[in-house]
Amino acid sequence: MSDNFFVTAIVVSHDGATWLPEAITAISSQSRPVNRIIAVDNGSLDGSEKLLSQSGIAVLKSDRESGFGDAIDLALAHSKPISDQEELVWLLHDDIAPTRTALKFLIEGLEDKPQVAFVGPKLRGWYDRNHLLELGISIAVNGARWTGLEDGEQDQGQYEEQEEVLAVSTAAMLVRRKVFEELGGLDPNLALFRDDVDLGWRARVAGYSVLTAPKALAFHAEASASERRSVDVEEAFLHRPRLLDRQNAAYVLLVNVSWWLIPWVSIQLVGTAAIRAVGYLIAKLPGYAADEIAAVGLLIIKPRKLLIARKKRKAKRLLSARIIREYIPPRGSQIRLAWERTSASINKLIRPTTQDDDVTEPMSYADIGVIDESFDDQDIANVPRKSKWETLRNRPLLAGLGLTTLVTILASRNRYGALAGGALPIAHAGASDLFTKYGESWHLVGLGSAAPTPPWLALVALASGFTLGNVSAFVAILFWIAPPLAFFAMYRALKRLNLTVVYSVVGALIYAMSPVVWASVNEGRLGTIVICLVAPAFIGLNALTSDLTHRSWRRIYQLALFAGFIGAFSSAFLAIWTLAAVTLIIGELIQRRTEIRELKVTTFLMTADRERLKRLVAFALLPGLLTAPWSFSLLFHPTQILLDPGLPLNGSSIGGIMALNPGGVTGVPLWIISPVVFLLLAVLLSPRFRFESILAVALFSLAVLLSSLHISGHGSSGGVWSGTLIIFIQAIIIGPALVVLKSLIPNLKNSALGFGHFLTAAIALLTIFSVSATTFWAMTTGANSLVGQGQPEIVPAFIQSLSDTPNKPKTLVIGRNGDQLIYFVTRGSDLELGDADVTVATPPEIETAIDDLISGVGISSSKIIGAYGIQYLFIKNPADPGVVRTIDGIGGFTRSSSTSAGVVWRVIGSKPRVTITDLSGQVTGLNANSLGAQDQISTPGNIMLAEKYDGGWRLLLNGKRLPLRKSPVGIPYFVATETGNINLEHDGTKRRALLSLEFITLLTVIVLSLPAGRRRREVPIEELA
Amino acid sequence: MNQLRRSTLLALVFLISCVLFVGTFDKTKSGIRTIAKYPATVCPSNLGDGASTAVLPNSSVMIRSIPTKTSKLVKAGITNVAQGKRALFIDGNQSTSISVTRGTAGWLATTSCVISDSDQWFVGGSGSITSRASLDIVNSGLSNSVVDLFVYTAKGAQPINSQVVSPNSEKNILIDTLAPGEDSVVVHAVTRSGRVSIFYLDQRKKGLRSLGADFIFNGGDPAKHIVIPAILNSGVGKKAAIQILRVLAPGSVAATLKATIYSSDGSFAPIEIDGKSIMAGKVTDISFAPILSDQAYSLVLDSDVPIVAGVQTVANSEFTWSNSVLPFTNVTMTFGGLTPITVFHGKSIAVAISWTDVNGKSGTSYVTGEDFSIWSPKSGLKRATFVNNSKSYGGIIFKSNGGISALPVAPGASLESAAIPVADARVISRR
Repeated sequence: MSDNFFVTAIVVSHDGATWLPEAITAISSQSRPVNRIIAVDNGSLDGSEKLLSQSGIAVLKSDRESGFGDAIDLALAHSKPISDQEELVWLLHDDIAPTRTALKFLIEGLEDKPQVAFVGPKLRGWYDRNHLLELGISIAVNGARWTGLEDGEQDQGQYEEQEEVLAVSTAAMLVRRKVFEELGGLDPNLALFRDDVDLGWRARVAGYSVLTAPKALAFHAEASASERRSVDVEEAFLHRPRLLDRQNAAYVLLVNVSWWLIPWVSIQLVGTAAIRAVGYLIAKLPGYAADEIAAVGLLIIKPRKLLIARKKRKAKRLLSARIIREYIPPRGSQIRLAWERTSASINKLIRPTTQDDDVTEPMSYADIGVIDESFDDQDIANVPRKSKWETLRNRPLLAGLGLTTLVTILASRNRYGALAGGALPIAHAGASDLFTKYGESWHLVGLGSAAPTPPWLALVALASGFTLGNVSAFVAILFWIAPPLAFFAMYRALKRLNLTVVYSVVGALIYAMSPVVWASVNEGRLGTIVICLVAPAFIGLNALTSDLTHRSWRRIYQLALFAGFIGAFSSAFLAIWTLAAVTLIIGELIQRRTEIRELKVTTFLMTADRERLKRLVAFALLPGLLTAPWSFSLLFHPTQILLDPGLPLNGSSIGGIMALNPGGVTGVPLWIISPVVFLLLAVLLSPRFRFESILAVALFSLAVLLSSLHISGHGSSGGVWSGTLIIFIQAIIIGPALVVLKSLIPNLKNSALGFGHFLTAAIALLTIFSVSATTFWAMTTGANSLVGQGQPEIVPAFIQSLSDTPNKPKTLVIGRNGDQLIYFVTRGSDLELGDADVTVATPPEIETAIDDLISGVGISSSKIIGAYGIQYLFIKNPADPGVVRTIDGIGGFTRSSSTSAGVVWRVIGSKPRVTITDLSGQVTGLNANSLGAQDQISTPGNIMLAEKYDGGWRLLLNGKRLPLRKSPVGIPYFVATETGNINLEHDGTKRRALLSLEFITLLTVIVLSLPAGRRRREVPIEELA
Repeated sequence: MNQLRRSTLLALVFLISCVLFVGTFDKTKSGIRTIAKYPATVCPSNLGDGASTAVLPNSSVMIRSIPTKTSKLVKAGITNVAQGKRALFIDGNQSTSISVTRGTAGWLATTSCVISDSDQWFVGGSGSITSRASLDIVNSGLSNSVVDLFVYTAKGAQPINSQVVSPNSEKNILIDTLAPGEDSVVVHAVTRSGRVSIFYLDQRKKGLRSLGADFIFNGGDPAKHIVIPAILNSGVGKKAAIQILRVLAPGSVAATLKATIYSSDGSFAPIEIDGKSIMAGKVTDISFAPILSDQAYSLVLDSDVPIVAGVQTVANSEFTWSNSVLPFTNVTMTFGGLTPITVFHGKSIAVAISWTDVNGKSGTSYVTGEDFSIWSPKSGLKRATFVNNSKSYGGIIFKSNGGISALPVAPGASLESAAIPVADARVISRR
């Protein structure tokens, strides 16, 4: 014993029987023996006390509710201070096993360094003994415990230098007793957790140093932190260790930081607690989430405790609190660590460590381990260099993807820019505008609409985050890369069927080069494009066909979420999905009718095995709820189910549908038959894939039936688009067809020439022809699609500029679609993304007025049109001279201009957006905003709103709600009988409530779909340390 | 295997059934729907110093006066609406209402109640000292209207006179202010904007003695072939009438006329007119005196350049203006008890007339003939519908002791047919 210290070891035990034997052995066998050893048992129930006694250690008993600090105080009180030597106290947990030389190196760590108050060992894991746990600790300003180490970092000798730290763990801390007592020991308010940081902090501001002793090594089980034993200290509310930890962290910060930092620290604590709580909720750990919130709350309600603690610290503080700044981890390092943890978790989630079975990449000799790695290099060096064409031949995936991309690049030459045309309106708005549009209860489209916005708009807004909120850029990129993405999506789906790369590439090419994909791109079918990207994956999941009972609920929620996502882009899918689920429920109930009859309904619902039923109910309800309130509106307007996002366009005839070619104005020519027709034939002739073939034929029949319908909605009218159904038919059939052909071809090789040979050859030739023809067409004629860049603006600039004036004028635009005269009301801009989907029918009064206007008999047309706030009438060129002459002569319209764009008239007597008509008939405009109006009226009268009538309009006059009325021309108005302040608005309470329901459902389903987090006690101890 | 084949077969049969089912329907739209409505017409106010009546087809027609404070229409309640100093707005209906003005001095002036027309030629009237002729411009619309008046006289074209008429009002312009001292006047009225109906009453007085009055109706655009189907060949009572042809070649080239008179006596060329050269831009009056046994005749003018023309029939203290017309189609006219002498001209006349007389008796008469036919009911008519099965021209003459007047067989407002416009957001969507 070369040093001149007297070492008193204090072991505190609390239900530590698991670790105590090794801990006692380790302490007893130190190369530099302890001079005195005292044990304090805090009411252990597992025989810890007996273990200690049997080891010959004097044991002091304490309450089960006592903290670690209390136990140390008790031990010191029972141990007489040593006067002739400096006494060191070695604080020891019952779950720590120091190595034989630990004490020796700890003493060396503070020997000849009188300013050093404490020294701590290098702590490594109990089970993974190379896992670094701590080398000094600190606390972040958000209360997080900070070690500066990465998760799972292994000790490779990288921390061998003694370093100044804020604090060291009490698990095996060596302290100078004199200093320890001078500092007042461990804070009794910190019975467990963070007492070490607090002690270190106090030592620092008292002018002492805290050092690590890396050569001193101890293995720590962290039993309390990892919830391996109950936390029974008095301060631990509900015995929750995380709650106590967070509470103590906040306490340490609030009692030690400078006064002026308290607000900032408090904000950070609350903010971080809230974020963590959300994170734990997502991880389905509500208990931890509650801990986070309760920790801050419990502390805030006891400010007196904090004040007393601060007062005590002030008395012993010699240095400014700023000196500990260098030990507080910078914010950047905390964010980096959080990011690393998150990305590691996601990586773990999406890249399972187990390799796919179908990975056929040959292993190197080095992998096998039979030879050194240089052999592989030599092998590579000796391989003759192949030409690029040969490389492509040997890499069909690359070739297929390259071909699709090349075709797409050439075919999209007129689509590099902001896209519009066909079913796709221009997307000027940013993501936030789309979100606003999604949330609003009254849409400023046409003469106004209260129709619910389809959820695809919010999804597009969300996805445009990839382009920094630029929706136009996102839409353009989506249209550009749709065919290659479709190729890849189908390739992935086919690989899951254990098809070879070549077969998968062929199938992916058939899919990506199918008429329906290119027709969707060329006609601006945003919804169909999204569905063509996800349909292969969705079909591969066999959502409704597999054995639902054995599917986990997480999987069910994931599938429902996926179905909801697809349903958001295709109301037809949503309807079919829900209908299918309901049918299966009914089928299940019918099948089990005897059981239901025997048990009675109530008993059946309470006790019977309802796993499949419950899952089907989730399937039936969740997608609808996830797309509410839009999905609810489909119940009341069922024809809208047949409409896809955007403007309706005329599609193909029955012949086109039979060729699985949806056609359209700039669609793929109808003579190009989709090869999937022949593949479907192959599957039908095969005894396999019976369900798939029948499902495909059912969808085929539905597509044929729907192709005969002409439907109005989304601000226009057109034939029912069968593209979505065709996409699903293709996604269902391509895989099975290739599997059938794959199994058929070897048989054909070994059999005599027959029907099978001819059929296979015919399918192959027709497939090659169809894919080639579509490819050629896409690169030539197909490039001049309806959707294109740089489409000229429709609404004249001066009308656009009027939209920002207080009167918020509208303009009636008349044009032609072929021989049909068409009209719509604009508020100053061209039709934008999502506008068509919320457009509702024009009021009959306006329809009649416009009919009369065009036929030349509408003497009062201008009055009715003007009442709706339509200030201008614009006839697009080529304008019908007869109509122009009629409007010139009918009265009520004054011609403003006649340009190459068209002729504009001003509507005489057009009303501002909100007006009051007093008793003398005098009309005065009121101060209107884009939706409502706030103003003061100085005379009683009728307050008119130049919008379509809707029951949601509310007007408060001096805080009192006036009854809503409908004028003879169909606009809303209110009778004000007194003067005062008015507040006119559209009541969006119902919309907000339904959106809240949707949001809650979405959040819940997302949380339930995600992998659940584990409580610390559920994590295998080997994984923890 | 059998089950498989059965289900596959069933699936295919179902698909084929769908195809056949859908194949029976035509997906294409039924085409563009049209609407047809009669526009509202306007009857003039009482322009002369007589008593004016608007004769409506029935008492349930909706009407309002112009000007009025409100644009609300009210049910007429009666069929003969006495006209004061306000024009009458009549809601669109199938029948053509007429305005009948009877002077206390024994003259009759009639006109159809008409809709707005952008380009109108009135051949007749005078700005001389005896003239009380006036142009009544009625703006039944809701915006200001601008009407340009191009006045031609024997001296040539007068400076353009632009008139602005306020919404829902009328404006009366005396012809002597447009062409002071001019005996022979042709007015070309061009409506630049607004819903305007124009009426032209030619009334003449010599001191306090009335020289008669009649409305001059719109004779249509200048043309090389002019048909004036109904010209009265006799004055009031048994007195002979003086016939004066007023003609204008509004272009810059003189016209050479070829004239043919058609009557029950056959056709011939009046020597006073036929071969006559008309100076360009100057109104020319030519007196002629056809010797005919019938009470009415038609005059057809052919010219090498477009012309406009009208014939004034003067009989002592009364006169009437017959103007050129276009072939009519189907017209229902209201007569209010007047007895029309209906004259048709055409190569092959085939007109069916369904009539209801003042006694409530109804009947259908068929008028056929070549070049010229005349039909007159035995008693006064309430209304008559003329169905033209040929491309005939028609005119009406009223002749009684109360005066003489003429009207074209032409609707006050044609059935306006237009394709029904449909609301379609594509109109503001790019491409």
